[in-house]
Amino acid sequence: MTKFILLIEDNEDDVFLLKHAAKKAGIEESVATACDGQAAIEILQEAINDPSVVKLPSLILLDLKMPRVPGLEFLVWLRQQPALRMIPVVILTSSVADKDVAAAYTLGANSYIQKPAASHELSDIIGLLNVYWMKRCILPPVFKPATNS
Amino acid sequence: MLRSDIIRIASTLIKPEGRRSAADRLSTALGVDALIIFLPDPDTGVLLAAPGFPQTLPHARRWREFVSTCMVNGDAEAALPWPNADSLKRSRGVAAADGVVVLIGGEPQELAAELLLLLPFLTAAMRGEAIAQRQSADTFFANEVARQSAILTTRLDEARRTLQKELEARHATEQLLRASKQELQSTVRELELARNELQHYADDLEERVAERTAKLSETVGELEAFSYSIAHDLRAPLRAMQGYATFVIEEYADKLDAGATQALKKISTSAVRLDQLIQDVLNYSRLVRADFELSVVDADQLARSIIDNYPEWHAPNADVLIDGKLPCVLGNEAFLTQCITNLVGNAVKFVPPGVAPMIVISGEQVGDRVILRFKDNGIGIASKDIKRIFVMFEQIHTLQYGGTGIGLAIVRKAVERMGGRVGVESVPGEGSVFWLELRRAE
Repeated sequence: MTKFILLIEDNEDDVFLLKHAAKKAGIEESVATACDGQAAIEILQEAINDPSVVKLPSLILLDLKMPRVPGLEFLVWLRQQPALRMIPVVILTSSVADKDVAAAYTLGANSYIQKPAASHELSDIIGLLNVYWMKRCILPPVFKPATNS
Repeated sequence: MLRSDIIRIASTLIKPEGRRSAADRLSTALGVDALIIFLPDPDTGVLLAAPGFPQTLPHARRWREFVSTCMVNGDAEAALPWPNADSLKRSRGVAAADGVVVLIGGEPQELAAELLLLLPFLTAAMRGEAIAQRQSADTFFANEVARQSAILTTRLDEARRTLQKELEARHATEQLLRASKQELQSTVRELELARNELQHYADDLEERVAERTAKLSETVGELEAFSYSIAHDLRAPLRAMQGYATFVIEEYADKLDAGATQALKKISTSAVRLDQLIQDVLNYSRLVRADFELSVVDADQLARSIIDNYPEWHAPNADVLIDGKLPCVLGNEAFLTQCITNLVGNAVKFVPPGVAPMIVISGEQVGDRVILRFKDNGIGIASKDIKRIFVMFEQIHTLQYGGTGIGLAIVRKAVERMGGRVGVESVPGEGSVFWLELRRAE
C-alpha cells in the first residue's frame, strides 16, 4: 500500500459503513482509521519520527465533532507541522452550519462534504474521492513514494 | 383856527385813544404837514417818538441828532436833516425840558410853542400809560403764571394719579408674577419628581429589556446549539440505521426471504425520509434566522444552472424548460435557489402514475415586480387545499408521493424574506401554475 487514506472518525457505525463503502469502491485496503483527533496526532507523530514503520497518508478524511481533539483543532495542529501541512484534508461531517464550513476552509481544509444519509450516496462519494484524490489529483511531492525510501 | 381850539385838540393828545387822529387834526390846525412829539422814556430818559406817532422814521440817527440839538439849543432850525426836501427845510423843532415837538413843513406858528406846555401832561400821561401797561403786564403775567401753574398743577396731579395707578397696576402685576413664579416653581418641582420617577422607570425598563435580551440571546444560542446538535447527533443514528439495513440487504441477500428484504428496505427508506425531514426543518429555521442582503440575481442563469445540476429533471425522466429569458430580480441567490429547487422538485414529483413530468418556467415584469411562473402537468391541487400547502407539515399526498411537507413552507418563507409573495393556480387533474412575485432589479 503506497498511497492510503487516513479516516479520522469517532463514530464506529460511520467507520463501519465507510469501510463498507470503500470495499464497494474497491479501496478497502487503502483506508486506515484513527478514532479521534488525538489518535490521529499520535499516528502522524510516529510516521514523522520513523517513516519506515508508519507511512504518511495521501489524504485525510476528517470528522469535526469528536472527543479529546475535535476535527478543527486537529486541522490547526496539522497545518502547523512542516512535514504534514501539505496533506489534503477532506472534511466529512454531518454539519453544514455556515460557521463550520467557513472555519474549516479558513483553517486549510481542501474540501467539505456532508455525510449522506443514504448508503449508496456514501459509496458514490468514496468512489469519487478515490478517483479524484488518489488517481487524478497530483499530490504534494513530499508524499511521493520516492521520498519515503 | 383859534388858539383855544388848538389847545383843546392838543389836550386830546393826552388820551391814548385817538392820539393819532388828534395829531393829524392838530397838524392840520397848525398848518404843517406832520407833527411828531418826542418824549423822554420814563425809565431811561432816551427820547422816543410818543406813542401814536410814527415810531420808526427814515434816517432815525439824523432825527435823534436833530432832536438832541433841539434839546440843547431850544431851536434847531439849522440842524434839520434832509436839507434838500422843501417841506423839511421849513420844519422846526421846539424843545422843552419834557420833550421835543417837531413840526414838519408849513409855516411856523407861534402857537407851536404853546404845545410845549402840554408836554409835561403828555409825559405824565405817557408815564401813567406805561405804568398801567406795566401793571397790566404784571397782572397778565401774574394771571398767566397762576393759570399756567394751575394747568401744571392739574397736569402734575393727573400725572401723579396716573403714576399712582401705574404703580398700583405694577404692584398687582408683580404680585401676579410672584404667584405665577411660585406656581411655576411648584410645577417644576412636580415635573422634576415626575422626571425622576420616569428615569427610574426607564432605568428599570432598560434593565428588564437587557435581562430579557440576555435571556433571549441565551435562548437563541440554545436553539442554535439545539439545531446544531440535531444536525450532528440525531442524524448519526439515522445514517447507521439506513447504512446497516442496506448493508444487510447487500451482504446477506442470499439468506433473506422477500419479506425480510422488504422490511429492511422500509427501514432504509424511512431513515432517509426522516433525514430529509430533519434537513428541511434545519433549512427552514436557517431561512428564518439568516442575515442577508438583497442583491441583483440573474434568475435566468440561476434557473438554468439549477436544472443542469439535477440529472433526474432531464429526459427521459422529465422535461424542464425555460420559456424565453427570465428577468433579473432583487433577492438572495441562496433563497431563490431554494425556491426554484423546491418548486421544480415538487412539480417533477407530483405527477399521475405513468405521466412524464413537463415543467415550463416563464418570467414577466409587471411594474416594479417580477413574476416567475412554474407550470406543470401534475396532479393539481383542489382549491380547498391551496391554503394548506404553504404551511409546514401540511402535505396533501404524503403517503403516495413521499416528501416531508416542508418544501413549500420553505418557499413561502424564503419569498417573504425577499419581500415577495408566492401563490398557485390549479385545476385538479390538469396541473398547477405556481408563481413567485419578487422585486424587480433596477
